[in-house]
Amino acid sequence: MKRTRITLSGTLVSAALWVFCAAPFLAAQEPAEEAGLEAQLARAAELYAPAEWPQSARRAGLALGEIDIQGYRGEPLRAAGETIERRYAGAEEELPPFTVEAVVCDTAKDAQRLLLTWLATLASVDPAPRALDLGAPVGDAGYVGLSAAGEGAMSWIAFARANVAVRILADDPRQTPRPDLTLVARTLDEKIAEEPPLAEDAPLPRPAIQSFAAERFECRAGEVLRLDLAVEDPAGGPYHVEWIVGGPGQGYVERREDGAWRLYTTGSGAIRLVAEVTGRFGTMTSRAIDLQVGAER
Amino acid sequence: MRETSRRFLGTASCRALLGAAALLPFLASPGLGQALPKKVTGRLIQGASTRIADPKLAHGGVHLRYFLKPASGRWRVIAEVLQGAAVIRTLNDSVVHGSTSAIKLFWDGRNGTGVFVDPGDYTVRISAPDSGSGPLLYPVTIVRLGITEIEARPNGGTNEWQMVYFRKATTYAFYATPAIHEYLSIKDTGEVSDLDLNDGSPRPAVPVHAATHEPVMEGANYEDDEYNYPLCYLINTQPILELTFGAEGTSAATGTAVPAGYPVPGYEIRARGEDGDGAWTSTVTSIAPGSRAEFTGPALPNEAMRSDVDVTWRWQYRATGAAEWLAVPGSFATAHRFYTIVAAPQFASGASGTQYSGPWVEVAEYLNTWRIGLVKRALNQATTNEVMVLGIFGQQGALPTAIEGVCYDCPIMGGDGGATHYYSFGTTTMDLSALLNNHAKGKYVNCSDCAGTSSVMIAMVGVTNVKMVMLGYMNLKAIWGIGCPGYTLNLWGSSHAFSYHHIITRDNATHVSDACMCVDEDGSPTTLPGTPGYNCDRIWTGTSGYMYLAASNNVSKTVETLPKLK
Repeated sequence: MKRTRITLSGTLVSAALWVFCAAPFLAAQEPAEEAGLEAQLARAAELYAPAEWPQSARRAGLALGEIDIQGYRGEPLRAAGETIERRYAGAEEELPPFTVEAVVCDTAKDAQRLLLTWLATLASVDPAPRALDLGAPVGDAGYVGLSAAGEGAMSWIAFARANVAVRILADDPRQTPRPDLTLVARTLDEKIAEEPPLAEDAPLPRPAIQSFAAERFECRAGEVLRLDLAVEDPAGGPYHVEWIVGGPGQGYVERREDGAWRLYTTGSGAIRLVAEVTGRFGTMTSRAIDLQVGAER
Repeated sequence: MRETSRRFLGTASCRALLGAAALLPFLASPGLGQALPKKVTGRLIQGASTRIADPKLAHGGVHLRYFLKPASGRWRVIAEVLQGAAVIRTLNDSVVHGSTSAIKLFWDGRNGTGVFVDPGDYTVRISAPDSGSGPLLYPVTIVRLGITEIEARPNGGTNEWQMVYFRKATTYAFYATPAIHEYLSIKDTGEVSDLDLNDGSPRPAVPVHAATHEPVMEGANYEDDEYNYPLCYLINTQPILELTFGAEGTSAATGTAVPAGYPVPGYEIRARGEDGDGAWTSTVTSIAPGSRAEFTGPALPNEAMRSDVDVTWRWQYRATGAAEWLAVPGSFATAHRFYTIVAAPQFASGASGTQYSGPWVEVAEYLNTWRIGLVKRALNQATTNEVMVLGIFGQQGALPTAIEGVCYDCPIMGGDGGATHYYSFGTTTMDLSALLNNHAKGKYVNCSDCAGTSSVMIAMVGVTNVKMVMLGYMNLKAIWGIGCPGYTLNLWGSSHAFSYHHIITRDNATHVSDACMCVDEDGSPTTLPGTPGYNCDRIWTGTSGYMYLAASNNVSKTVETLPKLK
């Protein structure tokens, strides 16, 4: 008995020693969860059940450039690829700013995947609450990032309505008075929904680039070339142009007093000049031209 | 004899009277209260003097030397500037003592009414009418020397890059410093000439553009006639600046454009530069208005940093075929801001657009600020990576905050659950311009924002093979998040784990860097307090490795790519 006890004790000590020594490496022997966005999306799908989200009929988009929020001054629209953004700063500078980002997708499914991506890439393992559960029914599906600043302060609110995904980010939810992100979300949601539904197979109303050309397609660095860009947006209203000057040649595009666009070449080499035109409803069309810019002289 | 003496005395008295009468106009001159010594024949002798001058250069003008001998005498000396036969300026009209050394005169290039004369040929005449010596004639050619453009050029390979700004007033727009000339100083609309202002005074050198977010603006448009942008070179490179010399100045008399007035027949003119570290040399021995010449300067520092260099440009001339170069008096100084990086900037493969033209000015400036604040040197890719990772995290040394004052999106900071604000998964794009614009999309960041920020910033200052690494679930140990006050074992209030994490690597995840958080390096990573364990090229495996110090589970990793830039 005594011997046995000694043996057991010795075994326990050995086991404890083994555990102690091996502890740092134990973790490495456990199977790791798969990394990568698709794995994250799969886990998020389990958490948020997007298959159960309703899907409204497709809409034309979101006229973000036209949306005024009381007490705020909307800054110029920013478009990069399919994403449109607009920052709103307090008109009286007492209201802390917030940013709206929106993507007008081809389908509601695409918009919901983007919403799911936003949720899947939350670092916390705790699920974000539904906007609906917080008394803020926005979108076909909507979720909220509750700030720890208290009193219902929101860090962000995101939703998908039809084929449009929207996220509103508070600059700093600790600042007071706080922007009412719920109100902003509702305003945007209503704006999307008030557009008539599109037929299932109807194309989105995208701006059409009717012509895009440079006065010449060869020049020397330092020369200024007039650009001809004609756009028709079926939604009417102003359109937004982002210019991408792809190198190795260099330059920039500006609109001068006469209203014409001009390419100012500042470095030699081939240029692929892309005009990305975002229409009133946030849909984008692009077209490219190629130019050859020779050495200055 | 007596009669002769009387005649002599009479003659002498008469001469004395005449001499006194002749002296009357000069009695007001300084030193004339003394009695003149008896008349001595003097000699005017020409000394070395300026042949070609540009009085509009700083301290420019015409230096004249002459000798007046013997030293025991003194004579009225008149120095005049003539344009053709007309006297346009009197430089001196006074009694001058003879001397064994050269007597100096200076003409500042202005006429009698005080305005600069136009480029052209002039003569300075020095005469001593009572000396018995004939006048001295000094031919002088006034020219207008100056620089209108400076282009930084590579020196034997790809070692010079354009730099990028990301704002245009209230909008986001990328602008690359013009490759054809980073320094430009030419006439604007309504101005007469490139080298001078409309009143004929010299156009001042353009100061370095010190803003880091936006290029020089002219109203709503980019400035296109006057700027001086920073330059970017590989460390230890001898930079080459190509100067373009201006062709026209402005007449101070008429307000119209006038040619620069050179080449001067029979002479060659060249330029030379100098800064605090040495000479800027050129092989070009004859310049002309509108021509260009390359100058090679002293080597830039052997580390990534910012160097502000003042180059003083001077001109020289020589008679064609002569060996000796003589100085055109005066100089023109230009200031230049050089950023050095450890290797060629790296960007996402296949990405296209102005944002990929070279390092962003604000990023290069951050690197310089951080190396100073951290008292570290960015000598190579490893140390550059270290400076950048530590700088983004901040909160040590002279860096009180994280980059742009951001903080981790978690409850203790008033945030939520670690939402991505600047990094886009769908497009694999980092919105660096919004982050650098005073965290325009909010002051919260999560790991993807930090990994996106650090990867693109580190790559664009020359660190190669930088990639993002997506990690799976992490059951966390003690961590110190970016912008947070200290270590925590309760990141979310209800849990302490990452659903995923994003970090970076430059060797395919054998070693990793993480600007988003520090691990606890006090030997007890599961308890507080923590000892900062910065993650700069930290090995992934082992007990001092990233995975062991950060998490208690086995963490999967997926090496991704370098993000695109927005």
